[in-house]
Amino acid sequence: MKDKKIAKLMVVDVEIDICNFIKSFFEERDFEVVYAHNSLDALPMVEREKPDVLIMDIKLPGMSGLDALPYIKSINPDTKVIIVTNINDEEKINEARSKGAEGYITKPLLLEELLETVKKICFKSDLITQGSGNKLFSKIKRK
Amino acid sequence: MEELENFVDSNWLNFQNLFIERLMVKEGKVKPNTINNSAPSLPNVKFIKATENPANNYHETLLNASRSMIRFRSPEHLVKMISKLIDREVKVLHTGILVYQEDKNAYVLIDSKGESGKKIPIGFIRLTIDNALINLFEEGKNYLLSNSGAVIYDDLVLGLGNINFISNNLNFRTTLEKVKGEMDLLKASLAIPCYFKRKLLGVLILGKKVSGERFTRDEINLFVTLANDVAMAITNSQLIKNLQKRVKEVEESYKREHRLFIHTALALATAIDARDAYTQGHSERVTSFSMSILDEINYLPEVVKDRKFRENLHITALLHDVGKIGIPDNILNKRGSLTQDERQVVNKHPLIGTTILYPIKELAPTIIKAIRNHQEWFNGQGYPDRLKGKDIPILSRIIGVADAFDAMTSDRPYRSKLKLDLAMGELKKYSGVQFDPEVVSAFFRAYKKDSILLQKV
Repeated sequence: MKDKKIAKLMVVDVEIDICNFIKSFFEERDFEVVYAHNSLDALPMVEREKPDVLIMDIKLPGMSGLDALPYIKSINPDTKVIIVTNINDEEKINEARSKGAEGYITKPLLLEELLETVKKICFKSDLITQGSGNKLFSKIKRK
Repeated sequence: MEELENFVDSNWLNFQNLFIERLMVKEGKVKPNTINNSAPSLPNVKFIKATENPANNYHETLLNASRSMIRFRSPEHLVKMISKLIDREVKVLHTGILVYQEDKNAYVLIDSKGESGKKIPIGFIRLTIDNALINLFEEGKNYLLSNSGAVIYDDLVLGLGNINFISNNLNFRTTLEKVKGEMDLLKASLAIPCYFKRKLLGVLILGKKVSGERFTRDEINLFVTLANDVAMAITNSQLIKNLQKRVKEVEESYKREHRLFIHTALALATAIDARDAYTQGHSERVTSFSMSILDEINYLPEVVKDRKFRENLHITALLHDVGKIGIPDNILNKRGSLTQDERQVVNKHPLIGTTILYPIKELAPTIIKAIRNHQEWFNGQGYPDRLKGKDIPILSRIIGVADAFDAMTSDRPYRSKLKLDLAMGELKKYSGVQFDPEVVSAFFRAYKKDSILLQKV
C-alpha cells in the first residue's frame, strides 16, 4: 500500500476541517497524509512518521508553528516545511525562512499553488538541499 | 463601486434613500415590511421536491429567502442561508460560495457546506481573476456551453471527449481543458456564476450529488436563481456599506471642523484674556457660568426650538469679549477708575467684536448679534443699541449675568474683588434693571445647586 504513495505529507493545523480537506485533497493525488492539531503532538509524530513535507500553520495552541520549526528541523532535517497561514507579514516570512522553512503560503490560498509547491519540494528535493531552497522560497508567490 | 451604482435602478434608489434616512436617525436596521417594491422579481421556477414533503416546494422557500434577503445588511447571512438551503434540499457532497473581495482582488470562499474533508474550509482558498473558470464567466463564454450559464462538469468532459466538438476552435478547447482542471481541483460538478448586471460578483460551487445522479434542469435553474440572489445581496450590502462609509465620512469631517472651530474660538478667547492681566480665564468662566444658567432655563421656547442653542451659547460666551483686542493696553490694564473718554473707548468692544467676527460666514448671525448686544441692560440703559427687555437676544441676557458675576468676583484693575454674597446681592439688586429677572433666578438656582464653578474665587 505504502509503495504506491508518491510521498508522505503531514499537516499541522488547529482546524480539523483544514486537516481533513488537505488530507483528502492529497490522498486523491496519491500522497500519504497524516495530521496533528498542535506542536506538542506534531513533534513526536515527525520523529515517528518522518514526513517528506510538512504543511504547518503559525497560529497553534501552545507552541507556535514558527517556534516549533527549529525542533522539527533538528528531529528530522529531511522534512521540508511549508508554512500555510493567514498572516501576511514580511517579518514572519523572514523568520520562517531563517528557521529553515522551504515555503510560505498565505491563506486564502490557490489550490494549484499549494499542489505545485508540494510537488516541487518533493520531486526536486536534491535541488533544494543543494542550496537552492531559498530560490524556491522566493519563487513562491505570496498573495 | 461607481459602476455598480450606475446600475442601480429606481427601486434600489428608493431603498437607498430610505436607508440614508435610517442611518441619519441612527436606527441602523431596515425593517422588511417598510419596503414593498424592492423584493427582486423571480423567474418562475417550477420545482418539485423529490423527498418526503412535495407540498413544500423550492419555489416557496426561495421566494421567502429572497424576501427576507432585504432584511440582511451583510451578504454573509444570505450566503449562509443559501448554502444551507442547498445543503438541505439537494443532497450534494459539498457546496461552496466564492465572493469577489476587492482588497484581495480575488474570489474568496466565504461559505461552504459538506462533511469534514469533503467541503473546502471557509476562507481557505481563493480564485484569482486570471483563473480559467473566472475568465470563462467574466467573458460570458459559459453561455456557449449552456443557456443557463452554469458549467456542468460531466458535459465538459463529454464535450472535450468528442472530436467534432469545437474542433475548429483550438483556443476554446484549451480554455475548456483549463476550466476542467480548475473544477477538478475544487471537485466541482457544477459551477454557477453570480452576476449582477453582467458583473461577476461570485461563484457557486457544487460537488456531486450524494445519489450520484445528474443534476436536473430544474435544479440547475434553482441554483442559477440562488446565485443571482447572492449577487444581489452582495451588491446590496456593498451599496449600504458605501453609504455608511459616506455618512460616516461626512459626520467625521463635520466633527473635525467643529472641533477645529471650537478650539480656534478657545484660542482666541485665551488670547483676549491674556492681554488683560486681571481677567485671566474670564472667557472660560463666563462660558461655564452661562452653561450652568442654561441648564436652569432650558424650558424656554427659544431654547427648546433651537437645536443649536447650546452650541451657540458656548461660542458666544467664549467670544463675547473678542472686541477687547481693539482696546489699547493702557486703558485695558489701567489701575483706578476710567475717565469718561476711556469708558467710551472700552464700551466700543461689542461693536469691535461684531466687526471682527462678521467676515466669518460660518458663524451664525445670532452669535454675532448676541456679541453685539451683550452689554445691553434690561431697562434699555445699556449699549450699543439701547435694546430693552426681551428685545435683547436671550444669548446676550444669559451672558450679561455670567459676565457681570465674573467681573464682580474677579480682581479687576479698577475694583477689588467683591465678596461672593455681595456679588449675589448686586445681581438681585439689578435684576429687572441691568439683568433679565428670569436669568438671575436661574443663576440663583444653579448657585444653590453648586453648579456654579468658582475656580478663582
